[in-house]
Amino acid sequence: MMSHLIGNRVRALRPVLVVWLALVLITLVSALESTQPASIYVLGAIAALTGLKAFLVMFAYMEVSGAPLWLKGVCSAWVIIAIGVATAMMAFPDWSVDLAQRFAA
Amino acid sequence: MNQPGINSSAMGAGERKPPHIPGEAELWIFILGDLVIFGLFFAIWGWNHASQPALFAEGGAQMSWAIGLANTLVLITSSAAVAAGLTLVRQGQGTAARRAYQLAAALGGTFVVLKVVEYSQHILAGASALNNVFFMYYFVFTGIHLLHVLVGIGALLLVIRRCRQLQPNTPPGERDVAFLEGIGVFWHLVDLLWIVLFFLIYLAS
Repeated sequence: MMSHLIGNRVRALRPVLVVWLALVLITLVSALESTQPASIYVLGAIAALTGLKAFLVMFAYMEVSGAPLWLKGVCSAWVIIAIGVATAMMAFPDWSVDLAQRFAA
Repeated sequence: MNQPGINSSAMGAGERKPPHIPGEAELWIFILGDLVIFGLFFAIWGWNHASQPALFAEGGAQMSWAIGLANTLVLITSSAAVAAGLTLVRQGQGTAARRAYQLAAALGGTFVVLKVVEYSQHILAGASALNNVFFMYYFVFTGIHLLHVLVGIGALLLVIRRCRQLQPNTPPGERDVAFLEGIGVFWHLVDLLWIVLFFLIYLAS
């Protein structure tokens, strides 16, 4: 009876643990990656790993995977735009400043 | 209201569960609003980083990489504990769920302590929100996030109290599930926002 209960609990919690393990591994890899000499490729790789973590938290833990299509779309768009815009500005500073000055002019 | 999620399954194996908004639908107005506001914060950070790369490189070098990483792992684990708590509640295991939520709240407290230690180090080193643009946005954005953590810990304490009221070995009612889902969504939002802040402030700067 007790082992049945524990078995059920482990089975039920397995997806939560798998996602947790993935999040921890991605965090460690991105932290190690950030110690590499700075370049657009390193920044892009860390940004992509951050985006992957954001998707995992949203779709697995926040349970957006079972939500209506519009909510999935809004959440996905947020991850891509929020991380993408900030990363693009940091990766291409001259281009970003130039674009902003053209808008202001 | 059905109970979707990672483990709930009162339906047949081949059946698709109908779409379900986790928590109360109204809560998502606040969640999406918060996402938009923090999205703007991230863009402001990126813009200032682009405008003053030397200042942000210097500021980034003063960040405690170890504390930032520790705080990220703490919040990720706390988020997993909340997801586990909800899974256990749906199975009618209120006592085990309560322990999971207690772990989540304790980890939230750990995050706050580490943040206070980090702020103290910066202030003792002479940094303040008035120093330069880097530290102004660092203190403002992480400070607003810290407020979210404190609100989240308060909400988790309410969840722990609610778990005590659940009947043992009995699946919870719809209102209980919606309440727990809502608090869970908020706590995962706190985790999500920190994941991006960690990237911008500690890894990319």
